[in-house]
Amino acid sequence: MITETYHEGTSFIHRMDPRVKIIHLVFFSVVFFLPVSVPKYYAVFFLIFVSSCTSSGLKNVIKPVKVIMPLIFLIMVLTPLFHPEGNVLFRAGDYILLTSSGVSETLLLVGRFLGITVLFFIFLRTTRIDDFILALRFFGLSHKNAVVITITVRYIPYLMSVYLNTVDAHKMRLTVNTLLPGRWNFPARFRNLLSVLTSVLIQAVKGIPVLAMALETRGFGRMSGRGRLKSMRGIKELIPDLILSLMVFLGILYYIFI
Amino acid sequence: MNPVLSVSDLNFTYPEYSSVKNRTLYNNLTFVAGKGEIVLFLAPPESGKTTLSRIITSLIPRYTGGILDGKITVCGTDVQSEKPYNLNEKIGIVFQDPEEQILTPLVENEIGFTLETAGIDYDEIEKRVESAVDFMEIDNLKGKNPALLSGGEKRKVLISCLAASDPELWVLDETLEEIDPVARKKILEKLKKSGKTILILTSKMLDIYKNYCSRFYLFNGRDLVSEEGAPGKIFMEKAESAGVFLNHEKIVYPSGGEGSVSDRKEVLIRAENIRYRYPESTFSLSVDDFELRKGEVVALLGHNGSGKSTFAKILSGLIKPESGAIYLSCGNGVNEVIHKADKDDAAGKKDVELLKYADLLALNRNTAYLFQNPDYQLFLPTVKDELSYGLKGEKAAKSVISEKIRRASGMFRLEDPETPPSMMSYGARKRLQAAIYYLLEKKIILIDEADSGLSFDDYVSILDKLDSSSSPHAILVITHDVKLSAKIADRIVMMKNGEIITEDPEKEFEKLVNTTF
Repeated sequence: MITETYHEGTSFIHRMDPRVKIIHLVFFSVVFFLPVSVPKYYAVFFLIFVSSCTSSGLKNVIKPVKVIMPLIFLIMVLTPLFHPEGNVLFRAGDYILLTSSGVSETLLLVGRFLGITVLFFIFLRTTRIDDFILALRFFGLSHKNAVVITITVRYIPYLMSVYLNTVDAHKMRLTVNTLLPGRWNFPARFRNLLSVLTSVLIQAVKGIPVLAMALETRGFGRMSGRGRLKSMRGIKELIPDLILSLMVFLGILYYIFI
Repeated sequence: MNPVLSVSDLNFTYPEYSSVKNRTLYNNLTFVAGKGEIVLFLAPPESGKTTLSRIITSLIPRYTGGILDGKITVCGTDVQSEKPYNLNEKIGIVFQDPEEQILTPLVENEIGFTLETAGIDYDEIEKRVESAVDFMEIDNLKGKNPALLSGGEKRKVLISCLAASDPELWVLDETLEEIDPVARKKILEKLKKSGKTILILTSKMLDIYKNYCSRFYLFNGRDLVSEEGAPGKIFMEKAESAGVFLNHEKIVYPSGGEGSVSDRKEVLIRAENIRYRYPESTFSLSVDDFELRKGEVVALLGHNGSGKSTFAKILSGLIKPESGAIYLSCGNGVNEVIHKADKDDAAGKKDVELLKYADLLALNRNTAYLFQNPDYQLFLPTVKDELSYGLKGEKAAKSVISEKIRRASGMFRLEDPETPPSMMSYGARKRLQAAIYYLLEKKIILIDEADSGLSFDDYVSILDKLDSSSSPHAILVITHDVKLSAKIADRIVMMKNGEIITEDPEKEFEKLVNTTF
């Protein structure tokens, strides 16, 4: 279970100012949607992957990739079927199953999907959520919206723990005589999952008024100005990071377009 | 006296729902709390303590609806005429369930949240957060996510929030009961020194309160008895008869030695060389040898975060240990790997016990684990559905299920089987949680700090009913209450830093008793 995204560290990505990281996040996300060749695409992905590994270790970077593997598999199976143009590489009777264009498009989609996943994962892995919120507030996010994001981030692991607790509660209702559905009895397994999800939903809905109460007892709703526990570095201190980032961006743009 | 809190002629009725019958709470309740006093408001479960705490903080009836009569003032302000967020300088509250109150993913941010919303300067917030951390001695929790802390640690963080925002009146709703005795004593000392008015709402008269509280109220749902200074004999007798005080004068360490249940009966579960470490945590659990015998009630004591709940989850198959094995006595649902545990008894005779290696599923099937928070285990629309869920899984006949539900409802005082659990009081939800496992007739019953929110009478009665099951069973009770453990347990096991204390546990227990009184 991933209960917290941030992982303590001292790597250069950890040390980077969260505002600069957000600029990187936007830049690389755009790069993954630019019309460039597959090898160049993967070169950018490789750069992100290696940087991520230096900050969080290979094992940690592989983690989110493992989670999205079923989706990657579906992309690999389904995408070629929708691209019959280009050189036919494989066909079954009259049906074209694989073309050069299909392969290229699949690699592009897989690379984009992997790249963006690793990019966001490494951002959250190396950035404290309060620093992230402060950076968003620097870019103009209102206090109320910042609280909404904070609570969302706080509640994702909470809902995850409610889900796991409910699963545990179901396990505790088993007895030595309980008949379990077979491995391939998908309707029964789906029914079990549905009952767990319903419980989680009820818990989440029940929590709404209590959350509102908790917020109000802590002063949320007051019309007074907002204080801040943490402040960010001055803009001047960001200049070296920004110059370095600009050089990296220009280098990447030069490589992929020229 | 110029009271900080004044409650006059209070009556409150929740809105009526088709499935829930409501009664008017409080019966013209009137009481006060003076400046700098620690006031104990003692009342059995289901008498409206949580509702009272939320009326005082102006949350009820704003969020729930209902009819409120009477007047509540804090520092002269009529709280019902103010919105909760405008009362921050006057009142602060810690909810009964800390999980419901935590808002941010970092301890420091949590403590500073109220100060931020009050628009206080950066330097001042930083200073007050640091001072609140020092006040509660939770420097070790800085930088952590409060949601991932133990129940006791969460409560400490939430008390720090009050220390930082520094309101005149602090309302603590069943906050101190799940904190271990050593930490509880320290907190009470600090609360006393703070000079603030503290209202402690609780279902249990712990002996330590006598040393720190200066005003005592005992409310049985209709009548209020009050006492200033130290509670007198009559007050304590009334508390005992209300089930909120456990009169157990002599606390003797129950060793479970020779001749006791623990020594005679067959082993039902044995854990050997259990090792476990949470991912990305420095905490590790290491238990070399632990067993529960048929018919025994064992109390598991230890500080918050010592690994009690983790160990219970391993025993129930909810957590897979990194190494080690758990064995169950021969019976249905366990694998066929036979483990022969040779053991010399007191007379030097070789005693061979036949146990079978239990995988996670076998442990799930044979153990009942009552979570601290009953809401995690109640997931169906009505009491009847909850009680019948496990029995339906066994394909029991409808008539058998109905009869069992009727019997369990009576035993555990669950009045209407059609009531939605979410509309029941916290104490009633705990009774329902126990009733569910009573019906499943599990071999091993693990009860994790389930005494919070229950009176002593209620808790002891639940334990007795679970213990009255005709099927072979053993009970492990996790608690912080030494008095309760001495009363109910055949044997006491103590944990510290993830390990069972094997060297002179009796001495450790005595230390704990001395801290408690």
